[in-house]
Amino acid sequence: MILKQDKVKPQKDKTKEHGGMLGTALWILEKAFDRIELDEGLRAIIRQSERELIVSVPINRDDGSVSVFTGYRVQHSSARGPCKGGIRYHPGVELDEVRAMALLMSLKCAVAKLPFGGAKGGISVNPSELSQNELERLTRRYAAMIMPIIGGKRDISAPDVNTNPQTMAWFMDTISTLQQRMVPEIVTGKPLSLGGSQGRFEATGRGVAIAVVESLNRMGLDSVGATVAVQGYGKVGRHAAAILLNEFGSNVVAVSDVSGGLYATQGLDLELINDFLDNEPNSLFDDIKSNERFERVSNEELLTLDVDVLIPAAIENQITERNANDVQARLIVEGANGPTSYSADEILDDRGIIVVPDILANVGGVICSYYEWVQDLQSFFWDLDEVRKNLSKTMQIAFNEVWSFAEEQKVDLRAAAYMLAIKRIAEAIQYRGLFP
Amino acid sequence: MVSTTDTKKKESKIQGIKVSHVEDVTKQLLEDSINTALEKVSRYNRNKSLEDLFQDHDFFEQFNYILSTKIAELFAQNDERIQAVYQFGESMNPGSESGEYLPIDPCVHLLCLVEKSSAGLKAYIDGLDRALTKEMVDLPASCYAKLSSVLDIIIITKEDVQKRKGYASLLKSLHAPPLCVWRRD
Repeated sequence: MILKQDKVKPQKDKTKEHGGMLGTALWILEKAFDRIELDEGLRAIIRQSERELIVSVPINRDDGSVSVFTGYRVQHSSARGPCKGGIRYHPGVELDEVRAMALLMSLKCAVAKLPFGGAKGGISVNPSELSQNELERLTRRYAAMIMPIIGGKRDISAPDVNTNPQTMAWFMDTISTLQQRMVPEIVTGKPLSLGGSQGRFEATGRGVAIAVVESLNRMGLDSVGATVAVQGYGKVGRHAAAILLNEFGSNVVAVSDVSGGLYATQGLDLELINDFLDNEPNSLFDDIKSNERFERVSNEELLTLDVDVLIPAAIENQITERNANDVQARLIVEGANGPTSYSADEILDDRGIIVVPDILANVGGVICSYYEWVQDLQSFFWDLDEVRKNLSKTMQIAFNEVWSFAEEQKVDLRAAAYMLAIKRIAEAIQYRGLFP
Repeated sequence: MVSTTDTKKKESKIQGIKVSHVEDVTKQLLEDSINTALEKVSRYNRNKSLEDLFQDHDFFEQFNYILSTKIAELFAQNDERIQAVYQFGESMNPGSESGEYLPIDPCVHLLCLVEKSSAGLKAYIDGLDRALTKEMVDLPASCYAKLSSVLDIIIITKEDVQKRKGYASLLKSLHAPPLCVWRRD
């Protein structure tokens, strides 16, 4: 390796310099660095974002006044490929938060073996205070301001909090207009009519379901008949539950939403539940009439049911030191981001409960995003079956490599996923060497 | 944004709020929210009917945000223990990268940060929910037609936030940060 430890100045402990999410992200990084005994030079490179751009985004308001917002684009690493990451509009957006998210995107893409590095961007704005025309002007100006560092082979954006396919369409149109050619590959998450991908509606949920099946295989268990509880019946949980039941023969015994859960030891009739939810807009599980075929459980109770598989797919920090000892599932697959606290993770590990971490379990959405980029570059679009087939393959490979690495290193899956991601990034940096 | 005149007008209504007046308040609240949202629609949507607009994600989100803000103001003026109100979305999830529009969710999801939870506040929320739901069923939007309850209000305390308990954990969330719609200064 061309980087030698003695040539590198001793690094300050960055995790102590930064609080909040960046501190947490760097703490995760340092733990994985130590575990793989990574060269100090490589650590120094990976700790730091590759490029950070802060832009001023002035717009004309509808009332004739001018407002100026601050925008960011952080590219953490392009060692493995073009940077990839979403754009968020939120008043809380600030540089450290964007840095943390860009770093986590690098790790997520590397875990899934996607040929991408990580990036993230955003504008510190409350988008709900703006009209649609103002939002369009904001997006176009931001796109133009960060244009010098982005590109279909350099840095690809995507939706995140408070941005959507419409935002991506404006973004793509702005860059296409300025470059005088159509560049759909500059963003993913576009409307289908502008080069979006089939299958995105279920991609994250399907990825979660595949992670469940692959885990059970590795544990010597059959997915057919395996009992499953799903906390959170939104986009991720609902699809994961349906795919596990209909395609893998699992027995979904409990599901919940914000109002509480339904539980039936013999298995829930998901079709009936979905029909009810589809036909009764805004209805919650609480509105479903009680009958003898299920009993009601609270969200907290659902987490501690006697099941084979638990899928927390609602919000962060649901399994904590308070309830980790009561969890009875043999396998937890994190559909949501960060549903398990660090202290709970240790308790679960001590108890032999396997946790498939969010960075691996819910990567299906990012994989589908990658497919959109591939299709846009080729101008050749796949049907739903093709997307599903490829998603299964990519997820299976990613999962099994993390599992094997965990066994080899004798660590849990979360540690293995981070270690493997960093190893892959480090390897790319090593092979490429340092210019000049 | 609500103008000072509007706020004063509303204050006089709110300070003397009684159960029988809730219906008037909710009627006004909805009217104001629709009018403000209409001012913000894009030029392509200017000629659309309200029925069509309610099927448009962007219009719907604007309307829902404005309504949330106005509801938060009502709560705050009714109960001084309310410190802040946040709008959160069930739609914030790890699949956002792929850019799928989620089905329109007509519910108003709010996290209400209070010094201490009280039965009075809960009763007030229930009353307002009933009145608001009754009014909203008549809006020209299919998503409200069979609505049984519009308000999804989760009351949280500072202790919940510190302990990152349940939905209170969203206040420190990196992945799904809620929007503050009202804060006591």
